Order: sequence, then structure tokens, then C-alpha cells
Amino acid sequence: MNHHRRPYATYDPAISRTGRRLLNGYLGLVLVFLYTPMLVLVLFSFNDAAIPAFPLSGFTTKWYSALFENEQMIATIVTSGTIAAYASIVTLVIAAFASLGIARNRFAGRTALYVLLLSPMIMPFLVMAVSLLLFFRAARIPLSQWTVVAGHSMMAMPYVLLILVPRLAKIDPSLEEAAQDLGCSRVSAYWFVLRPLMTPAIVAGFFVALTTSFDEFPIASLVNDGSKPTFPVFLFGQARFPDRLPQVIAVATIIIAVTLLVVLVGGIAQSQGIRRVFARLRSKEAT
Amino acid sequence: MTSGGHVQIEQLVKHFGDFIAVDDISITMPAGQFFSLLGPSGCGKTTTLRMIAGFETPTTGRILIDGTDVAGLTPNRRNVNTVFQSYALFPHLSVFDNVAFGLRRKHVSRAEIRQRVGRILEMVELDAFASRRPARMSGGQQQRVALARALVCEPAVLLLDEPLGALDAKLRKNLQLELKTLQQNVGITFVYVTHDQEEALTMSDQIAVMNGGKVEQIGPPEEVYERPNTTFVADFLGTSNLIDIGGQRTDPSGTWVTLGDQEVFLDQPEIPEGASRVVIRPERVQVEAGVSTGLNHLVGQVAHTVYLGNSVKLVVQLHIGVSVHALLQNTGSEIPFRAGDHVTVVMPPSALRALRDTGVADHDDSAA
Repeated sequence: MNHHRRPYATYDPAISRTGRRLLNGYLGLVLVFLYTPMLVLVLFSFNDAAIPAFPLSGFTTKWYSALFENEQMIATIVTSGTIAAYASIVTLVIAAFASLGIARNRFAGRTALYVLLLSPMIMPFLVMAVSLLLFFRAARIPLSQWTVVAGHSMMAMPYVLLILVPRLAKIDPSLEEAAQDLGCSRVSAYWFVLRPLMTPAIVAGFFVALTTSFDEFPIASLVNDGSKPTFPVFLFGQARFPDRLPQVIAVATIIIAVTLLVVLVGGIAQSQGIRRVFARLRSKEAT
Repeated sequence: MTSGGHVQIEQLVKHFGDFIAVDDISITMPAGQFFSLLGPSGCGKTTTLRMIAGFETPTTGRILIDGTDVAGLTPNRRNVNTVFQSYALFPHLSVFDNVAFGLRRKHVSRAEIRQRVGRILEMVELDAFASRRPARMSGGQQQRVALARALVCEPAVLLLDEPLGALDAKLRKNLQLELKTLQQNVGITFVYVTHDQEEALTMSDQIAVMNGGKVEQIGPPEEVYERPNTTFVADFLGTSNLIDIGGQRTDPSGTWVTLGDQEVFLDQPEIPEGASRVVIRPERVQVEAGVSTGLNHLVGQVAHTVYLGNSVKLVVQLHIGVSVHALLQNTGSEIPFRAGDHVTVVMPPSALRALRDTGVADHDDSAA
């Protein structure tokens, strides 16, 4: 179906020149709308003034150097990174088995199960956070980083499933049969055939889970014990102190840069660019 | 190279829920034969093949390969390999790695893998493509990779699921001959699933014609074609004239059956029980100008003629109320009959067979 869609409106000969200009202008407006706030943020992160307001006063990197001396902030980044890493791994392992079950089997209620697994996506995180908090209380599970990991895994699951299941559904099941025919057990057929073919989707899913967990606020704020706040929770607290605002702006700029990079890498991986790169490397090794 | 395995299928049954895919079939496939399972889609041939491969578990019945019951074994524990209809080549692996896949799972040494894969790729004339990806090859080449990948494991039995189905007609014809030659050279038992009667006739040592989960007839190609046991077989392999039998009597000279108000003589040693129709191939029907009488002479009128290139088809409306097709070789001279001509159709006793009526095939050549 993708073959029939033209990549850019500008290439469509059926659209008049005026129409094309209008469409390009519209595209430009959308991009401005999306990225101007971020550009302003980047601008102020290099502005030599404690109050972020125009006109700009001069160029400085002092907010960045102050940032790297702020041990408290760095600790929260490490906490968030650790939670995100664990949550991503837990999510991927569960999602991998779930997608195998959904994409490779036919059973009554399969669609219903899939919808059920995807539904956390449409539930407000705040509602999820409150219900998690009540659950952990009732189950007498002490709040910690691990309860946050559990909450984030739950929250990231639908996004990862939406990446894994369609990809798996596109892989011809007779490939697994061929692997079994050639000496694999059912499990080793997954390893030798499905795993390599799923790698781009797994990498993409990992990055999506990672970024979702990293900037999540309600769950991280409600089901954590408070001794080790995550970065977004810490940042939110800092916003109350006007003199620390430039540092927050600087750190936000870094996060934008890193997130863009991660999303970009994930996107490339999913479009199988990485697979091709790996394949090229491997074939060079072989010869 | 290797000697083929002997496959014995005993009272095999497969149900999918309420649907009976394979309904109590027993087939013996002698070692080293090219054996075809032929039938329309949904006849149970692919399910049977998948049970031999191990992808489906029989509901009841046994599958013996060289005397061992394999029905309960997983595919990787059976000495059989499969060539899939879609080829099922691993897209992330080169041709070499695809072919080496089975040997690597069996922990064959690197040197031996290189040697055996090299030899088999030479055999299918793909040695120049070893480092290429399947996606960058033609359908015919992919088909040969699939064949090499299965053959390199030296199975006792090679299972082929409509392996030529996805190829165009001309390539298919060439590959039919290649496959047959290959099978004779390697000596492995081939079990070949197809819905293409011509394919089955050209390549097979024996054919099992299947319909509705049952085996209608098993025999060498010339036997199932020349001496079909049922109307389904007669109709599925080539085309046939089928005429209802009114009555039947046997005297010392042989069997007579009534077609309409006329009796014809059959040169058939044994009439199957419950035979209700006679069959005659269009190419065995003789047509003579004018009205004449004699043994198995039936008079009628030419309804129309169809020019087919290498032959001419006559549709003759017989006075007994049925129409028959006759095929005349194109000898270069003009068609001697025109629509409306009065003719006599002669049905040689050796060309007529009385059959049990098992229905006719739904002639849909495009079906997979």
C-alpha cells in the first residue's frame, strides 16, 4: 500500500503549482509550530542572564558548566537512566513473548487480548500512577526505584508491542518451519531466524521504551520512595527556584539533543538501515 | 549419493476441528521413486506432505520412513527435508549461508560445509551466486537455492510442495525435466505435491490422485491416465467424455453397457462395482463421415468445430442425446467436417471404461 503513496506532495504532477506552494507553506508552518519553542529554549540556554527574556544579553556556556558541577542533578539523571534501562529490558522481554503469542497463533479472543495489551496507551498516566500507588499500598510492596521500573514497563508495553507485532506479522511463518525442517527445534528456530529478522524492530522498541520511561513524570513521582527522585521529578522541583531556571533550560537543551539522536537512531533501525549495515559488515567478514 | 527412503502411510487421518482434511489414506512410496500427490486445492495433498515433514500431527494413523514410525517426531528429528512453495529462503542470509544452514545445525565441520555447499551449488548451477541475497535473485534461481538447501542435508526423502507453482509456464517446463533428472541422479525419494496434472504425468514414477481427503487411485502415470478407476481421476487428468450408463450385461465375450437406446461393448477385464458411467478420451474417439452401423458405432451430427492449433476439436451431438468431444490431429489438410454434417462416432472397445462416479474436478487451473 505504501507503493501507491507519493513521498512528497511536491512530486505529484496532478497538483498545480499554486497548490504545491500552498502545501509547502503549510509544511513550513507545521515545522515552525513544532520546533520554535525548542529553538527558543536552546537560545536561552546560551544567554548570559538569570532571567530568560528578550533582548538577549550575550553568549555564555556558564549554565552548562554549572550544570556539570551540580552533583544532585547528575545523580537524578543516573537514576532515571537506570530505571529507563531496566524498564526497557523488562518491557522488551515481555513484549517479545506477547508478540509471538499474538502474531503467531490463532486462538479465540486473540484480538481482544491485543486490544487489552494496548489499552494502557489511551489511559492517562496520572490515572495509572494513582492506581499503581493504591495497588502497591494494598499489596504492601514498599515503594522504590523498582516500583517505578514496574510502572514504566507497564506504560511502555503498548508502544513496544505496536512496533514488534506488525513486524512479526510480516515475517513468513514458513521461515520458521524451514528452520525446523533443517534441524532447529522450535525455540532455536526463533533464535536463528526470527531474532535476526526482528533485530531492527527490537532496537527501535528499546529506544522508544527508553525515552518514554526517561521523561515520564506522574508514575515516577507517585510510586517512588523519594530518596532517589528521577530526573523529571527533580527538574519539576527546581522550577520553583528562579535562579536555577537557566540551568534547567541548559539541561532541557541537552535532553532535546539526546532524545532527537535516540529517536533518529531508532527510526533508522526500524527502517532496516541498521540491518543492512550489519549485513554488509557480516558479509565482509565472511569473505 | 544417498539411497532414498521408503515411505509407508497407514490409515492416516487428519482433522482440523470439524473439517476432515485427510480421510483414512494408505499409500506406499517405494524407495528412490518420484512420487506425486495430485489433486485440486483442498484435497488433502499438502496436509499429507506436512504430516510427513512433521509440521502437522496426524489425528490417527502411522507414517513409516524405512520402517520407523515418525508420526510423533518433531521435524528436526526426521530424515526428510522440504522445498517450500514460497521457497522460505532466509532473507537475512546469503545463498551460501542459506544452503549451509542445515549442516551448521548438525555441527558439520567448516571444511566439510564449504565442500558440500560448494558441490551442491555447482550442481544447481548457482556457484557464482554464493554471496548473493535471495531477494536479489530471480524466481527460478530462488527455487534452485531452496532445492540445494534441502538436498545438501542428504535426506532419505525430499518433500516438494508445489515448488514450481510460482514460476512462469516456460521456466516450469524446463525445470520439470531438470527436477526429474536430478531425482534420478541423487536417488532420493521425492514426494511431490502438485495440482498440475501435466507436471505429475511428466515427472512421476507413481501418482496418487487425491480428492476430498481420500486417495482415488495410485499408479504409474500411464495407468492413471489410460485406466482411471473413477470419474474424478478420468476428468482431473486431461479431459474426458463421461456418458451415463443405462444398463449393463455380461456375456462370455465381455461386458455390454447401454448408452441411451444403444449397446456398446467394453474391452475392460473388470468392471468396478457400482460403475455408473463410461469414459472415453477425446483423442480416442474416431469420427467417420456419413451414417454407418457396426460395433460401437453411434450416429450424430457435428455441432461445431474448434481449431486448437495442433489439433481440431469436434463437438458431436449423438442421437442418443449426449454430446461427445473428439480430438483430431492436425495433419495439415483441411478440416474434413463442418457443423451440421452427419457423422458416425466410433468408440473402440479398448478406449471405453466403465467407472464409479466420484464426481468431476472443478477445473480451475489457477488454483494453488
